[in-house]
Amino acid sequence: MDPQEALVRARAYRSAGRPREALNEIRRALASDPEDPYLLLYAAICASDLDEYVDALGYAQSLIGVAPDWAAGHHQLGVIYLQLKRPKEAEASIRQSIELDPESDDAWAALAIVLIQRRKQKESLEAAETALSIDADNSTALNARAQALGLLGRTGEAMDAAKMAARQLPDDTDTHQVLGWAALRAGRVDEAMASFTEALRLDPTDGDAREGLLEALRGRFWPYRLLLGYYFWISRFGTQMRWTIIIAITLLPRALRWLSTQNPAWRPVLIPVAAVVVLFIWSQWFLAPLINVSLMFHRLGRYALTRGQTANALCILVLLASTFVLVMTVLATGKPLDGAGAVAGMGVLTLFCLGGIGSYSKSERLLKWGSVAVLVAFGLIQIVVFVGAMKGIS
Amino acid sequence: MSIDPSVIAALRAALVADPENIGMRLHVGQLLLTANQAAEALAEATEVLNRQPTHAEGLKLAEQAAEAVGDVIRASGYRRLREALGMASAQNLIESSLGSVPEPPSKAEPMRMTHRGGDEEEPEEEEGDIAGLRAVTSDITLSQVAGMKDVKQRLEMAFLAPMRNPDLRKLYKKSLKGGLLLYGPPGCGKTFLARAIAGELGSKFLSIGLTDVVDMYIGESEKNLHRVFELARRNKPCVLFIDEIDALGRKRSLMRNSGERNVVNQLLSEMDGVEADNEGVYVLGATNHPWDVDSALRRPGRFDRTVLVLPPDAPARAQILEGAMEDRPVNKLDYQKLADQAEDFSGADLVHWAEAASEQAMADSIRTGTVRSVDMGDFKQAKKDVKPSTRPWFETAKNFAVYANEGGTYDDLIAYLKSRRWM
Repeated sequence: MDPQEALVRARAYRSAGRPREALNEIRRALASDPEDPYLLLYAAICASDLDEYVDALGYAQSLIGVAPDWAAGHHQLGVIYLQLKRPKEAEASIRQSIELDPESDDAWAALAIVLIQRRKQKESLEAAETALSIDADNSTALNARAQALGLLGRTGEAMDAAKMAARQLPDDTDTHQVLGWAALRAGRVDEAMASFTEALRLDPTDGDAREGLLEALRGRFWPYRLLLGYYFWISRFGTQMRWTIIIAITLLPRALRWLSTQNPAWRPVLIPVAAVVVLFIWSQWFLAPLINVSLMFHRLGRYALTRGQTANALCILVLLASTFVLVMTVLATGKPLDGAGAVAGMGVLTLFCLGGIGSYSKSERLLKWGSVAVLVAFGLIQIVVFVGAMKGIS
Repeated sequence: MSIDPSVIAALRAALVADPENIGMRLHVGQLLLTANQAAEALAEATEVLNRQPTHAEGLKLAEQAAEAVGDVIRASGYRRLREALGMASAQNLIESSLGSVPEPPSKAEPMRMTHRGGDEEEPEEEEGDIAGLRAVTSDITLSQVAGMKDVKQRLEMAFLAPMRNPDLRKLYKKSLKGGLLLYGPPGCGKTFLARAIAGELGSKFLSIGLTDVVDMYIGESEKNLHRVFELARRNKPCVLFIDEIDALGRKRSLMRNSGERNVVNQLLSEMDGVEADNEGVYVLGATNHPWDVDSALRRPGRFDRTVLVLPPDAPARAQILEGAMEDRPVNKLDYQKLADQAEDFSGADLVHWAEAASEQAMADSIRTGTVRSVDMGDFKQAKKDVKPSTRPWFETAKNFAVYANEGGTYDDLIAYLKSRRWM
C-alpha cells in the first residue's frame, strides 16, 4: 500500500476514534515500507493511543534508527517513556527533541510535564512558560504551568492559571482536573468538587478524575482537609526529603515522651502534643477509609468509590455496627465484661488493618478480599472472646 | 540446494486457487529464496505481509530476501520491525496469560442499497453515484428479530405505519422524516435490526458503515456525504442507516482539527435538510459508544429519539438459540432452559454458544464415526468457553449514566441498571 494513502486512511480512522483500525492500516503499509519514518511515527502514536506502550516503544526506537535527526521521533519516544513511568529517560528524549527543534511548543510542554514527575517544579514552570511563549494556547503547557505553580505552593497563582486554562479549554478533562487540584490546595472544596464533576462529565471513565472527586468529597470533613494540606505540603519535596519528614514525624512522639521524662514539668504540654501527633499518624491509616463509609451514602460518592473501596468501607461499617451492638449489649446487661479489653483491642486492631488496606492497597482484589478476610478472621476471634465473657457473666 | 522448478510452479498454481493460504505462500517464498530467486521471494513475502503485517516468519523471509537482492536498508527495516513486534508478541503473551484480550471492533459492511424482495429478485445496481454502492436483497423482516418490543414499536409509530398509510399521514400532518439512534452493547442486534427494517419496508434502504466514513475523509468528505443524502432523497421513502455513527458524527470536542469537524457539520446540515427537503428520508444510527456522538445530533429534527437496544430477554434468547440451531441435527434441546442459563448474553454470544455446542457434537461424530445430534450436554460443555460479553459495556455505560446524563439522555439505561441492581 502507498504510505501516503495509508497515512491518510489511518488519520481518518484515528479521527473517527478507531486507533486499532488506524494501526492496522499503518502496519499493512509498513510491510512494504518498513523504513518510512512517517509510518513508524504514526504507528508509535496509534500504539500509544491503544495503551500498547511496548509496541509503541519498538516503533519509536525503529524510527530513531531510521531518522536520528528528526525531532518528532525523539519527542514521541519521550512521551512513550513518560507513559511507561520512566521519567528520567523521558526527560533525556524530550531534551534531545528540543535540541533538534527548539521552537516546538509541544516539546517544551512535554518537558514541563516530565519535570513535574521528576519533582523539578521550578524548571517545569520555566519550560511551561517557554512553551506558552511559542503558543499561548498550548493545552499541555497551560495545565503544566498551573500544576507547577501549585506544587511550588503559589496557590493563588495556580488557581488563576488553572481557571484561565479551563476558560480556554472547556472541553479538556485534564484541565478541569488541574483546576480541581488547585482548588483543593486552596482549600476550596466546593469548587474542587465542581471541577472534578465537570472532568468526569467530559470523560466518565477517567480514573484520575474519579480519584480527585473522592478526595474533594473527603475534603468536606475538616480533619481530612488538614491531612490533605499535609500531603500537598510534603509533595513539594524530593523523595529523600519526603522520607526524612515522614520518619521524623513518626519518631516525634517517642522524642516528646523522652523529653517529658527528662523534664516532668513540661509533661502537661508534651503529652497532649504527643497524643495529637500519634492521632495524626494514625489518621493517615484509617481516616480516608472511615470517611469512605459515609461516602457510600453520598449521591456522587457511592459511584466514585471503586468496588474494592466499597467492599472495604462495608467491612468497616460492619465492624462499627457490631461494635455498637456489643457496647449496647454490655450496657444493657449492666455488668462489667471480663473480656471487654480483649474485644475492644481486637476491634481497634481490625479497624487498623482495614484502614491500612483501604489507605494503601493499590490492588482492587486485595482491597476487596483482603478486607473481607480481615473482618472475618478478627471478627471470629472477637465473637469467641465475647461469647466466652458473656458465659462468664451468666 | 537445487529446487525442482516444477514444484514451485505447482505450488504457485495452487496459490492462484487459494491466495489466502499464508503457509503455502511462505513455503513458496522460502523455496524461491533457496533457488536464488530472491526478488520473487521478496514479492511473495510482501504478499504475506500485506495479508498479515505482523507475521513473524513473513518478516524474516522479507528480511532475508531483501538482503539477498542487495537492498540492505529495506532488510534492516524488516529486522527492526520484527524485533519491535517480537517485543510486542512477548507482551501479548503476557497479556493473554493474564486474561482475554478484547477483539478489535469488526469492520462495517460496505455501503450498499438494499431492496426488499424474494428469491426471484436479482440484486439491483443503483446507478452509480457513489463508488461501491450496490443493491442487495434482504429477506429478513422485523418479525424475525427476537425481542426488542420497544424498538419495534417506536419504529412502527415513527416511520413504518405512516409510510404504509399515506392518507392518515396527510390527515395528521405527520412528516416522514427524522431519525432514531440505536445504542447498546455490541452484538445485541442493532445492525441486524437495520437489515430487518430494510426487509420490512419494501422500499429503499441505504446503509453506510465505518469504511465508507473513512473513504469520505479521504475524498471530498462533505461532498460525498451530501451525495449519500441526495441518493436517499431521490429514493424516498428511504431509510438511511449509519452504522457506528460515533465515527461519522463524532463529538466535535474530540476532533483534532477543524477539517474533521466539517464532516460532522455537514451531517448536521444534511439531517436538517437545509438545502433539500428530507421528507421521506428516515435516518437510523447505531452505536456502541453513544457518549462519543456529538450532542447536536440528538436535537429535534435529527435523531429525535434514542433507543437503548438491550441484550435479549429470556424468550428472545430462546428464540435466537432456536434460530441458530435451525437445520442442524438436535436432540431434545430445551431452549427455554438454555436461555435461562444465558443471562446477559448478547445475540452474538448466543450464536457463538450454539456454534461451539455444534462443534462439540461434530468433533464427537468425527471421533466415533457416527453422526450424533447436538444435545444439552454439548451446550453445557461449550458454556465453559462462552462468557457474556455485555458486562464490560454496562460498566463503562454506568459511568456515563452517572456523570454525563445531561437532559436525561441515559434515563432508560439508568432504569435498566437499577432494575438489575447494578446501580
